[in-house]
Amino acid sequence: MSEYKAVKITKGKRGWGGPLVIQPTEKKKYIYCVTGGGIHPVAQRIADLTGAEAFDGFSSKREFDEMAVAVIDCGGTARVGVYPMKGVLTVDIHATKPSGPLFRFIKEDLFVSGVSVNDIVLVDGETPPAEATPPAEEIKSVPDKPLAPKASEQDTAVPAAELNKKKGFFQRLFGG
Amino acid sequence: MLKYEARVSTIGPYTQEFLDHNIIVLFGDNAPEELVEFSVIHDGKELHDEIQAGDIVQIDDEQFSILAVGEVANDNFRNLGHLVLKFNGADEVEMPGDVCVEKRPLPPIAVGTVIKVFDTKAQ
Repeated sequence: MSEYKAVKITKGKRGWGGPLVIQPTEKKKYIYCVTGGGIHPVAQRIADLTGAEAFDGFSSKREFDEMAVAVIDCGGTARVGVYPMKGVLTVDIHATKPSGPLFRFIKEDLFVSGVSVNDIVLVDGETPPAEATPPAEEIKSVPDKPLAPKASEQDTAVPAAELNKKKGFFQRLFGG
Repeated sequence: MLKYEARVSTIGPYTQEFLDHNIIVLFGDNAPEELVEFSVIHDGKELHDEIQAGDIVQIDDEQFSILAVGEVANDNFRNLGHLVLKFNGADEVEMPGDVCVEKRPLPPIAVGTVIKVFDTKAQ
């Protein structure tokens, strides 16, 4: 009865959880995107393949039961738990695992992480190739859209070596 | 130099859930309702420079040294006013969005509390 197509989303490199099958319906017709810089390419890809509507959660409100899926760029503490807690299927573009005070709500059948556009396929039929799809690692740092953009603002990048102190953070996920 | 300044505008009703874990979750004032519920909402707009270990976060009059900054923390802060402050004394982040600071009792936070981030050259 639904004219929407289902997609299957599998975890990306270093990711966790899933796979999830997203089947939008007349009621659940929004690909709810809660990421920095507008609609994320992963949310747009899900929308394009399913025929559902990508929706920017920072623009206005939608009810949880209208969300076919929530797409987040959460760094591991807050958003990772909120949408699963509300029973909303959740896709994190960052490779996070259950953590944070809400970790008990993050289950494999509700949550998948480390997802890039290439981890999304149609359940029935052949998936058309994604156009111009940068790898996940690059996506996250591209759309720099400050809340109050300033023409003179420069992206002052910290050397990668300094930012890259992530070794070992997965081992400590369940420590706290 | 001052990197960020914000005034708290709303305290979500479930913020205590995170405070109990020594975590303060900040979001800018355009955050959707479901995130406001457990967040400290503020009016900060512009991140003048990337925050990094060695910087100071000041909450009203109390200062905390930043010990570690996750790889996506600056993106989240710049794009969404979103910062996850963990008062855990860790010099290595658990999760890519974390900003770890000194392990001390959390300062009181209320509507009107001023939060600043600056590097130590400023003081």
